[in-house]
Amino acid sequence: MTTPAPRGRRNTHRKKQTRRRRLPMRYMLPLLFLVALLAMLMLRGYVHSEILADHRIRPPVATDRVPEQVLDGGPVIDARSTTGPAKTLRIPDHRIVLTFDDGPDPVWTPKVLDELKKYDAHGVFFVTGTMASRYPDLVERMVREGHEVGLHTFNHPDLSYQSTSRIDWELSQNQLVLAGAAGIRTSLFRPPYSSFADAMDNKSWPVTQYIGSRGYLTVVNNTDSEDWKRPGVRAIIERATPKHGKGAIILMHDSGGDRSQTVTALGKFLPKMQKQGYSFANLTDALGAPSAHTPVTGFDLWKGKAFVYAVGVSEHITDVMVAGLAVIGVLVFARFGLMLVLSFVHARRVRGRGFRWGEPVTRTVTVLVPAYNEKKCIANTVRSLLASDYPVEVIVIDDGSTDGTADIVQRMRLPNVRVVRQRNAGKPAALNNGIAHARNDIIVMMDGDTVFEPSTVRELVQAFGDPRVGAVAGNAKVGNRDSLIGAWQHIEYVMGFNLDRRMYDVLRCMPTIPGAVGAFRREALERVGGISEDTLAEDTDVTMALHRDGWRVVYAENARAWTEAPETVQQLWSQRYRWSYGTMQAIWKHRRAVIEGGASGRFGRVGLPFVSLFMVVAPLLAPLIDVFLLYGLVFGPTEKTVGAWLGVLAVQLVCAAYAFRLDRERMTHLLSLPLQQVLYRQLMYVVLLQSWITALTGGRLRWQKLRRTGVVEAPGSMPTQRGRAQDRRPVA
Amino acid sequence: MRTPVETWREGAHAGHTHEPNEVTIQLDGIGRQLSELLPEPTAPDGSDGPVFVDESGRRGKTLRRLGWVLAAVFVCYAVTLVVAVMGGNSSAPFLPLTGQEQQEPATTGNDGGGTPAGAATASVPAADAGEPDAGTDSTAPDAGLPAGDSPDPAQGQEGVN
Repeated sequence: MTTPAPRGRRNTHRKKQTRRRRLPMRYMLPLLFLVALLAMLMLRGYVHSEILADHRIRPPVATDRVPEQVLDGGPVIDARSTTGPAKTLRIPDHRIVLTFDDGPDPVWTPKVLDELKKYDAHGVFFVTGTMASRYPDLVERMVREGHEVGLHTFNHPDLSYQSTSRIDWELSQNQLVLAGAAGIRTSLFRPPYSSFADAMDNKSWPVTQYIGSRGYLTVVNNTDSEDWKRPGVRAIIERATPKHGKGAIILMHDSGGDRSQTVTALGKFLPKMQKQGYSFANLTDALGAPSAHTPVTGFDLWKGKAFVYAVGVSEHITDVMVAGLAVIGVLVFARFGLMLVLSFVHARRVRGRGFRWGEPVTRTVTVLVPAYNEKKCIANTVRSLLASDYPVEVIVIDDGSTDGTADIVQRMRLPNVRVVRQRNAGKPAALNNGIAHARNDIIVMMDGDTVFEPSTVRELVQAFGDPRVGAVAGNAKVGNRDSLIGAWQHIEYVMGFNLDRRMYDVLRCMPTIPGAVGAFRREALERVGGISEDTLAEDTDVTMALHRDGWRVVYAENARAWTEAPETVQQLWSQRYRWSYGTMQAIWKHRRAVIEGGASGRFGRVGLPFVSLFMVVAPLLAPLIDVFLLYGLVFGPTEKTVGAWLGVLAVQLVCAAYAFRLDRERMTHLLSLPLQQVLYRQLMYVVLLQSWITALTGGRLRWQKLRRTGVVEAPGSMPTQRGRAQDRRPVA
Repeated sequence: MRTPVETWREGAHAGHTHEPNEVTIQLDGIGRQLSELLPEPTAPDGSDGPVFVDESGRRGKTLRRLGWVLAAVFVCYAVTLVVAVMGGNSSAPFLPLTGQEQQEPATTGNDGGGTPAGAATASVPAADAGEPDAGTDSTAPDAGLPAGDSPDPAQGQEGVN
């Protein structure tokens, strides 16, 4: 912990209002991770030829500018001399140089190497940088077993289309990979799409000259086995056989498709030719020259090794990420499927003609209204409660307000309304205080700024006709839904929360009763010990405790309550941070339910994992969707990526439309759904990430209390927005 | 790290104690007073404070150290990639050849240790890989070895790198 205390005390501003001169680690580290991830993905695109790859092939042109001796000469072109003309070399008689292009391939190259080893034959492998970087051990094996390795560029572009700097880059990157894979540097080169020497034309000859000026021997071939066409083993052997005992460079491929015919052909071709007196050597052995390989040492070696290692890392991590993407894909679709099916089941059941919870409930209930500085809304709230068509006793618990909230209510002098004042101690304490003062056995809890409809309380408490029901969740609705951010939250409430609640009701694992509208059996509350302050999501905490105690928690779809959702990003951030962190706290607090027996065990083994999966794990993996979306848009198959993303959006739209229909909401707000996928979800990622970081590092959020020998600090009972007059209370 | 712990410290008043929240006033007209008031049931028995919060800061310190390590790893990785991909030397090591002639008597060529030495002359024909009748000299087939220290015993010339 490098931050010294004085700095904290000197700076009395709240966190967000100052720009510290150093970015805190909780932002810096994820940012660095993102940068490394981006670099890694670009590397992956690079070595899978998804970026910077050029697949154009030049058609043949005239050959008048190519020197005669090259067109008529041997397959090895030496254009290195800056003073003299280009020379060519032929392979001596009775020698065959097998050359394999475009490798190494993880499937076929080992088989080719095995065949060559079996007959003690050698050849030359012209490897591409991309493949060599992904399979460096094969390159190392080639070198170890006595074969020669030549360059075939990094990405296999047609070099006649490339600038000299690009050509340099292809060569140097290819050499870098060879250095890392096998510790060598080579002097042999074969251009992509090469053929015989007489196929050299006015466009490819300057490339060869340039390559020669860099010191390479350009090696083409004079016998084409055409194995890449897969014409059959016998045809391959026939085309590969040199005539009249002449020396030959044979073109074959160990990569780029199904090379089984090549492997089989080798198995027959090698002994056949050896019996006829041919020898299979690598190029420099056949020419009688020293090896084309030069060992690499020092910085170049380490640079190569680092690069090859980085490629290996990127391959592995990408595999892991793809697996993660598969997991999140399954989760997303499973959740949608479950939501649709189970909501349908729930709606069918509770709207069925003969459906009753039990005996109708008519006795008076207590409504608790914990309030902190709600002078603007409290009068409305209380009046809406008294306008209810059901007998209620209202208790307003004033949590040490400084704006006279309690006075306002007292001045109203309404019957059935009591005001309880307490020193500022937080919502859980206020609710517990209210429970202690309540006179009835059913307790409805709401927020100070929630507005009930006249039928809300009645709809809410009918479920208690079933003696197994311990708590009921109402239907919280967003009132300010016309702004963009309000519309997003409106969609989220209708689809995410309320459709979810139907699903959880059927599965008997409702994780949260909204703080804006919920009802509890007093007996159940007393059994679990009231509302706890251990977590920031006391509603989730108490709901889970009720599950563990064996109570049923149900959803009352017609118990509507209207709340005002946060209007600014900061307020939203604050709210969601609290919810996210609080939910994780609650899950962790009740983790022992997994191993317990009875009702607690049932919740712990079904409900808790389910909730953890969808509320904690899935949002953690969800960024993978965006990562792969970006990757696919930039590097990969763009159409397929866009199609997949649109597919997921379509599924969400269907779910949302169904949710809206069940709730009888107007569909116009769904128009903002696509934009929500691009902005809103990403905000939630950051919130979740910050929650995880806080949970892991054990930091204290400013809404949390210090509980130490009865000393209670009060950083603020409700999440006060800095310096704002109106305080937004969380809905749930 | 400034956030959560410090923001809590900001609001802290050193040495401040807080009375239990017992101050309530009932207004239902019957006149019941504090005597009947139950102590505020703040938490169930056995609650051990806020979940996840680590007062001592030890967990935070350990993770912070780990965070620095990870940050270094990420930066190294990104920098390595940038340096590697930025290109390098595209030239080839010099490979001495005499041309098509093979029978030229020659001193043993050797692989330069990366130095394009112009002094190397034509090489002796190396033995063929799989053929029993070798060339004029019986040298060990050693072409292609990466760490090319291959002393050629045949011609007795310098065969060491």
